[in-house]
Amino acid sequence: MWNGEAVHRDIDEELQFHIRMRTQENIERGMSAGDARRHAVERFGNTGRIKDISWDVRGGGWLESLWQDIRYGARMLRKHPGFSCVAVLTLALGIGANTAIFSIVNGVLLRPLPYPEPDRLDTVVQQNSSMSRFGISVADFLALEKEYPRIGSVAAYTHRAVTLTGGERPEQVKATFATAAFFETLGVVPARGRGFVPGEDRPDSDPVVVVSHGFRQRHLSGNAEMIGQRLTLDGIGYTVVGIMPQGFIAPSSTVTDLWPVLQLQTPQRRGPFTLRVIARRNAGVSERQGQEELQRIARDVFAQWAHTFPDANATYVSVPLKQALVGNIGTTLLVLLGAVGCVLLLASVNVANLLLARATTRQQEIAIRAALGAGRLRLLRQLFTESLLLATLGGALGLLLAVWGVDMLLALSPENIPRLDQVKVDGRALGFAALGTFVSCLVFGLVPALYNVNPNLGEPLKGGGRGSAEVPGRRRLRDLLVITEFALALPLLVGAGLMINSFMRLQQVDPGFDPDHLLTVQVPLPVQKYPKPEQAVNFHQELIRRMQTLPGVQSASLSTDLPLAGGHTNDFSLEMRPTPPGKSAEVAEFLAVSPEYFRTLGITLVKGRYLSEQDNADAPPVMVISQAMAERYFPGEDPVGMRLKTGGCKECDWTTIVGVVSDVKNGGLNVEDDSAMYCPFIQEPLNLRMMTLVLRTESDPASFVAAVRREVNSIDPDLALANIKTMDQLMSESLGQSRYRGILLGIFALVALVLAAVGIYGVIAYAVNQRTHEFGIRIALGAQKRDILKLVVRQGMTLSVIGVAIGVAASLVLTRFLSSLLYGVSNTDPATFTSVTLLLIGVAFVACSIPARRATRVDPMVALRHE
Amino acid sequence: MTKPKNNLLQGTLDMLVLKALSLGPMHGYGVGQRIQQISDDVLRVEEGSLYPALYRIEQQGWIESEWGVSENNQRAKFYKLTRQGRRQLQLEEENWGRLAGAIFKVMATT
Repeated sequence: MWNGEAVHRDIDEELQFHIRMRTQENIERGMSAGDARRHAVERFGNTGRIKDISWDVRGGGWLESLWQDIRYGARMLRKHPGFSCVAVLTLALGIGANTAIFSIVNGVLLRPLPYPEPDRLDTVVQQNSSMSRFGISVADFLALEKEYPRIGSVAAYTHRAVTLTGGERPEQVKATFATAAFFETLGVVPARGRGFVPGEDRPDSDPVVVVSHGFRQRHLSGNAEMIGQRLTLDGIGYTVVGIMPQGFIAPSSTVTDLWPVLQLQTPQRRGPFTLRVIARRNAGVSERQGQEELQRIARDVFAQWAHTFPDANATYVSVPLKQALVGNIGTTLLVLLGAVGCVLLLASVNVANLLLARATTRQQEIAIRAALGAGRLRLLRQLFTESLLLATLGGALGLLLAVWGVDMLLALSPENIPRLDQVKVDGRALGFAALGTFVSCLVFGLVPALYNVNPNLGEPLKGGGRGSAEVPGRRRLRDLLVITEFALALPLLVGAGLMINSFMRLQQVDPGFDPDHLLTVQVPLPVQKYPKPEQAVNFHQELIRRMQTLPGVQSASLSTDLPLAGGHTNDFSLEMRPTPPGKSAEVAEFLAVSPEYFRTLGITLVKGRYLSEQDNADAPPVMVISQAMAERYFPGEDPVGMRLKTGGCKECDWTTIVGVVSDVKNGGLNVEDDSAMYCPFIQEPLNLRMMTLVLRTESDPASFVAAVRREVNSIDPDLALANIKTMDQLMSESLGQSRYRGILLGIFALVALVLAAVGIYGVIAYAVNQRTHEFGIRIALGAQKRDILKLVVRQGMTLSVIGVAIGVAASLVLTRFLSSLLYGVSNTDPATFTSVTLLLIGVAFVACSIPARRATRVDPMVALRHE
Repeated sequence: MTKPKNNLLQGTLDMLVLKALSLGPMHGYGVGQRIQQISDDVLRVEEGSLYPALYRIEQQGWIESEWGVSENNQRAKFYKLTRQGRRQLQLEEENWGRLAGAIFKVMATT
């Protein structure tokens, strides 16, 4: 009803009238005109303030009063730059860290897959127990391809590096071999050209390939027509039929350059299970219906192939594609999000504390405003506007921090976090930052505001706001806030402690070999050029011979898999204890190696003998097993001389165990079971063309790459090297996620520690300030410095100990969510809990003793005069 | 005459304003002047308190305002007591009388 501007004009005019009247009166009393007016104006004091206050009383348009609140708030913040800076920085840190972590969670976990209607996309795997999942075989897929289209479409793919020749020098490119329905199932079409057509994924068809936008840029300077060109991959000519749009990614974490068509041969047996399968359910088909259909198909297929793969427990299982891609990183990210949320809460509580401390000095101002009739709601709104202003500044600065923080987080992230390329500070992250800002504002703004609008006006007016005792309620509130801070900080510290503990334990795990001075290089052999196993064997033997004569190379060998990475596993059946019908076969790591492998890595012989050159293709099949496997499957027996069959192969000859070697962490440092089988690569043709060369060198292993390339190309100029890494790099990568968690939680815990310390310091320092008078009297009456010290420190320690006790209780509950991320340390590890508790209490002690020491230096005379 | 302290209690200032206005409608400047004259210059109402008090009392509904022309022909805002304000004044006068009488008795004891 009242227009704001009119009200202002109204008040202004009235005051101007008053000034004119006073001026005239002064002139009548004999003052000069100038003096008269100056005096009249001076009598008013600050007209602005009167207007402000009158405004409070009379009110105005809400928009204008909001604007006025903001201006007033800004003035208050400018007046206390120290306070404002600390508060804004604290909030920026909290909001920034939250937004950065949320951006990662958003990119990796929340954002939908970049395919249309991703909810209907699944991957299909086989499962024979809750722990063991494995891939799909050609036989499986052919059955799926025939049956599944009743409810959707299905395609198989497999990632493999291929050697591209025809350029300046042979090059390894990342390829995803896919069946005809691949693009259709994902729901994407090439930007130019076409995808695959049915039938192209059969052996007698002409091989075709779809290339990525990036590949085209790199290999054909953009303008030349690429469609119709031929690419030579692993010695086979492929015709380019399509180019994918920029930004298209295959359903995996790795970047793909090419999608050659996957041509499936008619299978002779059910395994091996090396394909990945994606399926898109038709609209209206539920996940459960899809699952049932898969199980129906499984029953038929499993019955049909029962003679080569008897596993009654196994069936097909569909897993939502996103879940399959994200895997176990989800837990890590959610834990980080929880931790960083705690940090924001802590930051807010700290700012609330600061505001409360300042509230005392503002009591007088607020009391005056209230006494002059400003309504309670009006005052509340004013205080809340100030808080919102602080929060908004903090949020804006936090957003800047987040943009920078995301880059830092991405740089820190281990390579094996999927979908990291999707991470950016986008609209949703912005929304999250805004939400964080508002929530923190609610926490730190409302509490002090409510306490400031104290109905008991008389007290602050009389006391003059200085030296008077604090309102007991507010004191209790401040204590409560400090307790909250400690209760929040402890779980963060415990979590970080557990993570760092796990990381250190993982680092101390004996990998079972000496990782120093080891170079690993994969040398893929195209099947077209090396169609017969003997050709590949000949190449490898020549390669090893040359490597061993290379100056500076101590030992050279080949293996299908490297330690720590968790390569191939294989099922086996012992001659003495065959797998009972219907039961799942036992599984162990399975490596095909050259005889020198054990010496190259430094794996020691426990019993029997190593593999030797005499164990060739004509000799009876043999293998060496790890000590863990010997103890697990041959307890109290001598495994040497025992026989077994692998891979569900019934017709194969028995393989004899000829030796036992020391354990190696083949599956990863955190894997408990070290069961492993090593067979001569000459006797195991399965992965003969994807072997990795391992060199033990005398000097820096990385400096041998050029020599290896030269030797490889002098045997075959069309070969390219892949996955060139030192063993130290592999070690560091295998610790990646654990280190990531340790570092991030460590940072958050450190921030929490600092915030808690600042919080308790602030409260105690303030209390000391308030009690200066009292301490003066005490000292005047003969209290010793020690007594004062004890008095102050006790107050602080009581608060921190209560907070820590609550924090310990909360931690016992919360750390249960960490269990799956820990290694070698229980989630209630007493050592971690104890040391973290002591650390926090120690920090609290130091933070309290600084103001306590100040209290002992109170000069009684000054303190008493102070009133 | 020593300069009297002017920190009138809030309720007291309200009462004085009401009393001044009970003598007839007046603008803000006049209210201050009137209180000062009647009290023989003992009570000086500062502008910083007067106007907020006027606005507050107006919000309470005890007085109402209207723009008019002052004695020297200037546009000025005039305040006038409402019926409610008159009742309020009566109430406060009674309270004040009791309080003042009590204080007088205490102080008169020898």
